[in-house]
Amino acid sequence: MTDVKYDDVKVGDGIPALDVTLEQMMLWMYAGASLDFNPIHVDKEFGEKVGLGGTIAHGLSSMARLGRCINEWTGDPGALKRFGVRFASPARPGDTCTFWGRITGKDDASKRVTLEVGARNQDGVDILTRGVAVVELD
Amino acid sequence: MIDHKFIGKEYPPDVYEIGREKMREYARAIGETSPYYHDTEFGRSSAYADNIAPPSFAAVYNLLGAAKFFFDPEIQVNFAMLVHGEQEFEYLEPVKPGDVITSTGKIVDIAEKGNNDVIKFEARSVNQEGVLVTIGRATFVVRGGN
Repeated sequence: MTDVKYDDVKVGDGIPALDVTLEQMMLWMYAGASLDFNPIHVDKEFGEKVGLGGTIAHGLSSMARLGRCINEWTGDPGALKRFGVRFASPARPGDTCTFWGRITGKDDASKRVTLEVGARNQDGVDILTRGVAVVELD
Repeated sequence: MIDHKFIGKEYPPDVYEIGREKMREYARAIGETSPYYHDTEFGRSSAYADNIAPPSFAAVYNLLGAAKFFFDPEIQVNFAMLVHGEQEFEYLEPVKPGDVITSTGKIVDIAEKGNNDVIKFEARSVNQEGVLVTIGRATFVVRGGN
């Protein structure tokens, strides 16, 4: 059961943005949870050695946080039916990422709402682009 | 460049059993606190009749087959230059604790874009009842070509 109702939203509406300041511990937690221990995410020295200037966050963790932003808005994670992004540039420990979304379409027959979604860092650099999500609201 | 004859190549399936605490651990790692994942009683009294997995948990069960492509001895992907360019998930049915998910990955397209090789990979995840639950569509880029 979604908290936000189909009849109460309109094209052009933004959804509440989510700000997250990344810490290395979050990258380690994601590595453990996803079992992706690629050293570019967990080993600062390795990240420096290969020219990344340190560790970078898993792209899928940024996607997952953007998903969280959508789920916290709908109130029911089962409402998410389709979700895609392009990994534009990496997020790093110390970055404050803003996850955002905006309604671009509504389909009355299915009660499905389409959103443009994305993420950027504190310098305005896009982390996730070409994001599209479809949610089915009550 | 990767030989286009590999378009359509399908990899052997991976089987993954969804663990209640494992999916909660994933939710915690991304800061998701929803009772749909974390509160067993809430889940059982919801429309889903149980907790459900965070949609993004598909990154774990759906994408298992991608590793078989990365380390395919026939293709010899230049893993050091491989970038995950895009990802899309289509969610058809909720995934719940105890579900046994079988995911099958396949190369659906290979193309050259400038100096890069662009590979489209699709993985279909089916539960223990044979119901298609999730389709993942990934774009991988080998920078500088393979």
